[in-house]
Order: sequence, then C-alpha cells, then structure tokens
Amino acid sequence: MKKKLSILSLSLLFIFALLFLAACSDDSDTDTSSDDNGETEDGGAEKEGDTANEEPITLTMFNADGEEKSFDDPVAQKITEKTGVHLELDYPVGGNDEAIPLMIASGDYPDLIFAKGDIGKLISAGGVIKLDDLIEEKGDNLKAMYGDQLDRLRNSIDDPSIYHVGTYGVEEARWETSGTFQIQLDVLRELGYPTIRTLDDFEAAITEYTEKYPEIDGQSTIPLSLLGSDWRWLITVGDPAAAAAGLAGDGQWAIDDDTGEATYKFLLPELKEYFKWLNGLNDKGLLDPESFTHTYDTYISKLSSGRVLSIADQNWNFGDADAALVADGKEWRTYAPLPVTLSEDHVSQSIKDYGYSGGWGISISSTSEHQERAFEFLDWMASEEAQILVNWGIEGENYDIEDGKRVMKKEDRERMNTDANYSKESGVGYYIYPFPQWGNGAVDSNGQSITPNTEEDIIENFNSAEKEVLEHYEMDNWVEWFPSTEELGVSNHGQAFNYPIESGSDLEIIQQKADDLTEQRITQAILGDPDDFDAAWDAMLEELEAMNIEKANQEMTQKTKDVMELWGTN
Amino acid sequence: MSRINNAAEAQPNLPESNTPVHTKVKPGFPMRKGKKPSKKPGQKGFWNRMSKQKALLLMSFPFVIWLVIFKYIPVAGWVMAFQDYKAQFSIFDQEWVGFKHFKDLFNEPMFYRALENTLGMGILSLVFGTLFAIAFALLLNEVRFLTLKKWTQTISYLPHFVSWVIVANIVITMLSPEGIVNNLLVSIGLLDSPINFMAKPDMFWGIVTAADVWKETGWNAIIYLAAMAGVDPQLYEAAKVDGASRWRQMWHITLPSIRPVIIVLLILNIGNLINIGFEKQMLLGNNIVAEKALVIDLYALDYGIGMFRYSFGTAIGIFKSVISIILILICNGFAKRIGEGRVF
Amino acid sequence: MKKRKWTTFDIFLTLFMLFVVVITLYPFLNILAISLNNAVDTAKGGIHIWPRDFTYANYQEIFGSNDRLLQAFFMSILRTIVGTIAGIIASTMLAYVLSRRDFVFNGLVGFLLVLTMFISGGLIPEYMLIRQLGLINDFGVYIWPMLISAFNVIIIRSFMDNLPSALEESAKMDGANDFTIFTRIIVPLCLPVIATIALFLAVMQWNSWFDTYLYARSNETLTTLQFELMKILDNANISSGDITSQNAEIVAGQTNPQSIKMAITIIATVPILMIYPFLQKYFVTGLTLGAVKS
Repeated sequence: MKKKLSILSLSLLFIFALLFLAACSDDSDTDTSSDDNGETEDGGAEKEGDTANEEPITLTMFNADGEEKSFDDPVAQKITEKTGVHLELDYPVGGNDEAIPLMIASGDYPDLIFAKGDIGKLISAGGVIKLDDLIEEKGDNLKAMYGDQLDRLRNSIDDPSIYHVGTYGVEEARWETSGTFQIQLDVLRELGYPTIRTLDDFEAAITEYTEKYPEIDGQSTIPLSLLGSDWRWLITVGDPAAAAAGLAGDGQWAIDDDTGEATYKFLLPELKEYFKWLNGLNDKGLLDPESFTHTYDTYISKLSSGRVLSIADQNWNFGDADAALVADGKEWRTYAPLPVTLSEDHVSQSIKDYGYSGGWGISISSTSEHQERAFEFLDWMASEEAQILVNWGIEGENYDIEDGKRVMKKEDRERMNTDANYSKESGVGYYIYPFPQWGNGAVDSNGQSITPNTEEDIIENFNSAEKEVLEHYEMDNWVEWFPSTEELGVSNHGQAFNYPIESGSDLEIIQQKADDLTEQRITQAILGDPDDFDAAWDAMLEELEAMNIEKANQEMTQKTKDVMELWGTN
Repeated sequence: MSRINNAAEAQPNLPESNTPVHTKVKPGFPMRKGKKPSKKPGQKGFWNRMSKQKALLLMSFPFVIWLVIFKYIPVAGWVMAFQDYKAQFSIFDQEWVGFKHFKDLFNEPMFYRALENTLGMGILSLVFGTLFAIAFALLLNEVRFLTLKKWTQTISYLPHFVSWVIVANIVITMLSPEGIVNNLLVSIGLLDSPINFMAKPDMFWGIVTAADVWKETGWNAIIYLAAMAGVDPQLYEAAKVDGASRWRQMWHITLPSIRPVIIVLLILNIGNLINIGFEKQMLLGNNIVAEKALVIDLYALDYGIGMFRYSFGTAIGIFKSVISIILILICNGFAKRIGEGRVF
Repeated sequence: MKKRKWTTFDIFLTLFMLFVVVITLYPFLNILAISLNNAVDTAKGGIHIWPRDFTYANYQEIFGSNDRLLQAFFMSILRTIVGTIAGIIASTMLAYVLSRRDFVFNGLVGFLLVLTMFISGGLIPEYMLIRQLGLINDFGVYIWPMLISAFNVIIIRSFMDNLPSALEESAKMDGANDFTIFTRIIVPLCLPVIATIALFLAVMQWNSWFDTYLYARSNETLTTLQFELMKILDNANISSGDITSQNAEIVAGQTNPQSIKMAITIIATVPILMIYPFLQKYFVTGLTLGAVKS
C-alpha cells in the first residue's frame, strides 16, 4: 500500500509541477520592468521619439567582463551631463557562466548587454534587437568610426543583421608583442648580444648560459619553464607551438587566409616538430621537470626568483613576476620577447594586424523601454567628443591643451602609472572597453592621437636593463625585431577563436574533446622517452581521427568562408 | 576477534559472557527505536491512529508542503533531458527527442572513465573518511586534559573552512620535487632521489583521498562527538565498577552507542558516492594524471552546462539520481533486514 | 571524576592530539602569514607560518575598497541567526515526527525527504520557482529555500531513535500530547545533536554568497559579507593586469589577487569560528541526559 501511495503522490506532484511551470512561462514577459528602478516609468516609451536628452534616465547594463563599480566618477558624471544617461552596471560575480542563460530563461534583460561569446544565444532567443535601421537613421558617429569595417559587425551569412557595436578598437597599431618566447636580458648580455632567430639558436643560448651559471643566487638555474598544469596550457604550451610554426593567432586552428581552409592545428607536422624539440629539451634536462605539475603561484615565484632563463608566455600572465623582479632591483632578470620560429623559413606573426574583428559587442535588449535612448547613447560614445573624454578625462582637470595639443597633467600621468585604482576612481580610461572605441593608431580631426597611449610612452616605460639591451641591438622598441605589421598584411578572416560557435554543435563538442585529448597526449609525449615520441604522436593522430576531427575541420572551414563572404574579404 | 564481534552487537543487549560490563543494570531503559507500529493495521485502525496523531500531522504537514514546493516542483525541469532544450522557448515548445541524450551519454567512452574514477575516489574517501573521523572522535573523547581536548577539537576542523583552491596549492607545493615531503623522505633515506608525486597517475586517487581526509576529518568527527555526548554516563560508571579498561569501554560502550549514527551516515554517504563534486580533482589534477582525475561532475560541467547543453547535463543529473536512489534503497533495505538503523 | 594517574595511553593521546593540532593548524597559519605579508614578496614563495615582510596592505585594500562591508557583515549575521533558528526548529520537528514509527505517514514522509538529497531540478527551474514565489530581492530568499536539509533531519532523527523511551512513555501516561512531549522531553535530550546541526546550518548560511548574487543583488540592503568579499576578489583579479615594468616598484607596496584571497579567507572565516566555543559545551558526555533525569 505504501508503495502505491508514493507512486500516486509522485505522479500528482509531477502534474502539479507541470501546471506550475506552465503558469510561470505564461507571464514571464509581462513583468520585466519590475527592477527598472521606476525612475522614468511614466509614459517614457511614448515620448521616446523626440530627442529627450534633458530628461535623465537610468539604463541598466550587463558587462560580462565587468567589476563592481558605481557610475559616479567625474568622467561618468560628464557622460550623464552630456547624454542624460546614468548607467547601472551589473556583472557576473565570481565568474558565473549562467548569467546569460538565466536572463534568457526568465526574460529579465537589462537595457544594454555586453554578452561576449554568448551573443548568439541572445540573438536566437530574441533577446536583442537589430541595429541596422537605427545605425542608418541616427548612427552617424558609429558610421564614421567603423566606416567600411561596418560589415564585420554583421551576425552571419544567413542573418546579416547587426546586433551589437563595440569592444575592439578600430585602427589598432602594434607597438607591443604578445605571447612570444621570452629570454632573460642577462642571457643576452652574457652571450654578447647574439641574434636569436630559430629554436636552435634559442636552445644554444639557454644551454650555454646554464653551463656557465648552473646556479643563480644559490638556486639551480632553470633554462625553460612552462605552465601546463591548468587552462594556461593553451597559453604557454599550445600557442607558442603555433607561433613557432609561423601561424597566426587563431586559437586551436590553423587557417589559410586566402582560401579560408581550416585545420585543427595539432594535426600539422610543424607542430609535431615543435613538440619534438620540447621533448628533446626535457630529455636534456633543459625543461623544468615541474612544468606540467606546478601551480600558477609556484611558477610566478620561480620567475620572481630570477632563476628561470626563458619562458613562452603572454605579458599579462607573468606581470606579477615582472613586478617582483623590478621591485627587487633585478631588472636584468626580466625578459625580452624573441621572434623565434622553427626555422628561418617560418615568419613570426606576433604583431600581425587582424583588422577590426567584430565578434563581440554591446547589444540593446528587446525588452528595454528605452531602446532609442540606449542607441543614441552608444552612438554618442563613438563620437570624437566622447572618445576624447573617455580616453583623456576632463579638460583642465585631467589634461590641458598646450600649443593646441592635449597634454596629460603630471599628477594624472603619475597616478596612472602607479595607482592601480586610478582609472576606476577618476573614470579616465574606464569607459573605453567594451564600448565602441578608436584604437591606439587613430587620430582625431586635428590629427592628434585619440588615445594617450603612444609608442613613446611604451618606450619610456621600459626598465633600465631593457633600454640598455635595446641600445646594443640598435633598436627603440622590441617590435623592430619582428616582421612588421605592414609586411604581414591585414588578416582577411579576423581571428578564428572569435567566431560564434553554436552551443552543443558537433563542432563545439569535437573541438572540446580534441582539446582535452591533445593537452593530455602532447604532455605525455613531451615528458616521454624521445624514442617513443613518434609512436605517441601517431597514436594521438589516430585518436583524433577516431573522434571525427575531419568533420570539425570542414565545419570550421565553412565558418571561415562564411565570415569572409560576409565581410567581403574573400 | 571477539571484541569486534561484541562491538557489532546492539548496545543494550551485550552478551554477558565476553564482557564484564553490566549493561543490564537498566532493564527499564529500552531505546525508542525498538518501538514499532503494530503489524498490518486495518483500514479502521489507520483512521483511528491518524485521528490520534493530529499533533504529529500538524508538525509535519507544513514541511511536506515545503518539500513539494522547493524540492519537487523544480524537478519538473527533468523533462529537459528528453528534449533539445533551447532557452528561448518555453518548456512546452521544445523539440522532444526521447532518450537521445541518454544514448549519447552511454555511447561515450569518456563517461565510463569518469564513472570509474568517481566511484573509485568516492569509495576511498568514504572508507577512509569514515574510519579516520570515527577513530579521531573516539580518541578525542578519551582525552582527559580538558583544555587540550577543547583546543584540539576547535583546531582540527579549521581546514574545513579553507577553500580547495588554497588546500590544493599547499598539497602540490608540499609534494613537489623540491617540497617538504620529498626532502623528508630523501633525508631519512627512504628515497634516493625526489619523486614528482603529482606526475604519477597511479598515486592520484590516493593523494586526493589523503587531502580530503586531512581537510575534513575534524569536521566529520563533530557528529560522532555529539553522538557520544548522548551516551548514558551510568554505563561508564558501571563499567568502571567492573574494572573495564578504557580500551574496553571504547569498544563496548562508546562505539556501540554511536553505531546507529555511524550506520545512518554510512547509508547516506553511500547514496552520495556518485556526488563527490569535481573541485578537488580539478584543482589537484593536471594533464599527466587527467585520465585518473576526470570525474562525472567535471564531465557534466565541460560537456553539459559548460556548452549550454542543458538537456545533456540534465540527463547526466538524472543518471546520477537514479544511481543514488538505487544505492540508498539497497543499503537501507539491508540495514533494515539486519535490524540496524534505517534512513526511512 | 577522581584524578587518576596518567597512563601511557594518556601520553600517547596527548602526543597524537598535538600532532593533529600541528598539521591542521598549518594551512591556517600559512594563510594568515601570507595575508600579513607584502604581496610582491610573497610572489617569491617560501612563506610558511610567519610573515617575512610584514604589512597590513592586503587588509587595508579590502576595507578601503568597499564601504558596504559593515552593513554586509550585519546582514550576514542576521541571516545566519534567523536561518539557523528557523532551520533548527523545522529540522527538529520533522525529525521527531519521523522518529515516531507509529506515525501513519512515517514511511511516506521519510521517503519524500530522503529523495530530496539525490534529486535536483537544476539552476534554471529553481530560479523560475524563486521568481514565481516573489522571493527575488526579499530577505526570505535566504531562509525559505534552505529551511530543511534532509541530511540534518536524518541525523537528528537517528539521535532521537537512540534515546531511552521511558521518559516519553511516562509523559504519555500523564496525558501529555505529542507536541508537549516534543518540546518538554525530546528537545532537551537532543541538545548535543541540535548544537551540531546548528553549527552546520550556521556555517552554511554564513558561507553562502551565490544566492545573494542570483536572487538579491539589486537590493543593496540585502548584500552579505561573503558576496562583497567575492566582488573584491573579482576586482583584485582584474586590476592585476595593469602592472607594467615602470610602475612595478610602486606597485610593490601594494597587493595582488593571491594575497587578497588569503586576507579574505581570514576575514570570512574568523567570525564563524567564534561560535564554536559556545556550542562546544553541549558536547560533554552525559551532561544533558543527567540534567533531564534529575
């Protein structure tokens, strides 16, 4: 009897629950305004047509890359003064991934949404509006900013509408490298400033230095250290392999910029060659044996001790170590970026210009009651006036005009360089990303740089040892070592890792499986016996084939071709 | 041997032959659990009893409502597992796909590896976690120096509050080739050269279990200590009169007294074998040991929710629930049959 | 409680407990030391239980960057107290009903309860439920969804199963109803296990931050300490990207996310540790049983 009772009650419950769900899906659209602060509720929607800039409103904005911040610094106040818009900023606390799905499920959208890669879900859920007509009618500033790059904002070949604006700078100049091999300045000095161009040169340099100085400050010298124990495997192991093979920064893909042909990069023989080299380094004891087990903290502390001769890493990943070294007066233990590739035939793509890569941006939600005002706000943010305001701050307070040129005030320049909270407190530089923005190569109507970050600043910010080494090589900036941006040309397809991939699609699943597999197998192959390397590599290729990597290649190729057609770059 | 057997006996009826403890000093002290409803109540008896239990009905009714609203209604979301759920539509407008997601799951070799690792680490942590917690509680209960007892208990559960991010960091640092463990083993001659423990796939389950035991033993012991606080002190007095040693008191009084709690916790924990989470495995793991570190919850995160495959993620959740429910029904039935505790 | 001579067993116990103290105290001291150490110096590694380059900077950074901490702290205390008391009342009452094997719906209610340990609808259905119940941005969202945990109820019930039934029987003879028996006899006997569950509930309430984020973030008065600390940690992670060689020397006096994390662990943990000594007195053997009988 008991059993019957529980089954009966369970099925009753289930019916009850279904009824309940029906109830909540019915009115999910009706009460979206509930948390709109009620400031401008009364008939705001009807009056929207006229330019009601005087009437201040509050727009809610979700920023996937945001942090805790209230919109009340001087620059924000100036923005409100000019546009009548006050922003209420929200962000996913603790790196929560469910914010967008919950928004979609509940229908509670903020007015403005910066969703990054999740934009596709918002589009298919009807959560964001098309901006094409608005741009056509009143988007003069946006049109001026994007110019012929406007096509790069389009969604897809099947639905070529524009759903978002912003994020990356238009006309970005390349004055800094990223994600290259890095070698200690002291190695260059000790070895008499050699030319290091290939992996062999690189290996010879760290070998020679290690033989000369088996210990640094009483601890054993580590010729090369990587960080392959967590997701940073992709940064310090996967990406440098592609860089050494002269591939552009397309994430896990190798893409032919002319044909759009995409290949999962770990299938390539060049990549095998690189990992075989790493395997050799490991065998010779040149690779830190803890490279694949130590934690980020340990890695940073090793770098900070000055005993790691070389790394392959992004600047933002080892910034803490760099700071510790300089603070300790060990400038000579900081690193110089190198244009190292497998051989002279490969070209380092480190400072390639990928063009404006539309991908992500700010959208306006379909439930917003202030869609036009929101758009006017975004358009204003793209204006020259706004761009100078967000980049330089307020005239007379953050910068002065001297001889018709903008000059940042001394106190501001100093705070900018020393106080991590400067931007947050003053608002200067805070509202550039992810809004529509000019890049650091763009100039205003007077021919002045729109951003205050010029190449001169970067050069001035090098430490004393860096300056000395640069002098010996007769250069001003490290980028001179690398094949120039002009030489490399502008990419036709942008960057493959920016492409929206439909969630749960075969492409996404195969890529995830392949990534999981390659991270494990390549790590094992590097740490294994050199005699076994070829067999291990072939076994991995077979496994990749078994998970139908070919299908992923084809789908990615199709995607790239679609993008190039959409952008008109094919 | 006999000690163990004795310990396994129900507390109020210890066999006299093997023990000097006069447990029968309290014959008028049956435990509440001994009381069972009269067998096979007729329909009339049922209504009769119900009308007499108004207070009990009132005391449980609100909570049953609560359970239904907060726990059972959201379970309607399980229908997602049989759909290709897309957030933009209501749950009624989804495409129905039957058991497709379950088939996908059962055809995936990675899933079986994850299941093996989950159960492996789950069982290890259950066995050692329980043993250490009980042993620690028993020993702590015997400490006579009260200040030491209080401080040890307070300090022993401190690691529970330290997040796994930090614990994993400490563990990896200690076990690194330059870490304290290797230094110690090499200096006392147990090892010739340092071992990179974190790079040994065969050691991974052990390392996770050891870290878990270290972090949670003090915390898990709290329940057992509370149960020990409920033991009738007259039993100890009687045992002392008989001159029983402290070991014997532990075996014959303390342990049998907390046995119902031990058994209930065991059953609940067996039901939870498959719900071991993924945090510690993810933080302690690396690409070398990945094959031993992949657990179901991590798989569900990476290949389910992480890809916004809500339907697939829900299917994994249902699979886990079914396993848990089967496990707990088996254990509960078994415990009932041998007359030891019960969960429901 | 006569004084007895110390045996080898006592010496062994003392040494063993000291060993336990040492190995369990270490991580906490390590965190404390790092939280009080210069962040750039910490990056070099090698900090164990004593700070090498002493500074309050990490704490200053936390307290300086957020003016809502005090308010959030009180909200955390409030939800911990209310949530613990409500949870204790609910779990004990339900446990008592379930401990009564003569209760007509015992099996059904027990089964419904235990099942909740192993089923979950997932985040989206739960969110929709909370929204439908009107608990968004309401203090109730801290209390209602966490009111009953099956695990806690079953622990209490198994403790009750083990209580002597004589007292209950005699109360029944005197004509006391079930509710009176519960409040007058069962509850006082269960104080040790109630103290334990109170600890569990308090820790759970104190440590929650995700519900604040999910359900109450647009109501500033409902913010909790853990949630504010989480946001500070997020901010620390973001601004660490700004370091360049030139400002490194000055940044050296400041903090980094790792050190902030340690200081946050200390700030978040110490208050909840304070409650343990108050509960500990209930764990003394035999105390309660004797008290009730006399």
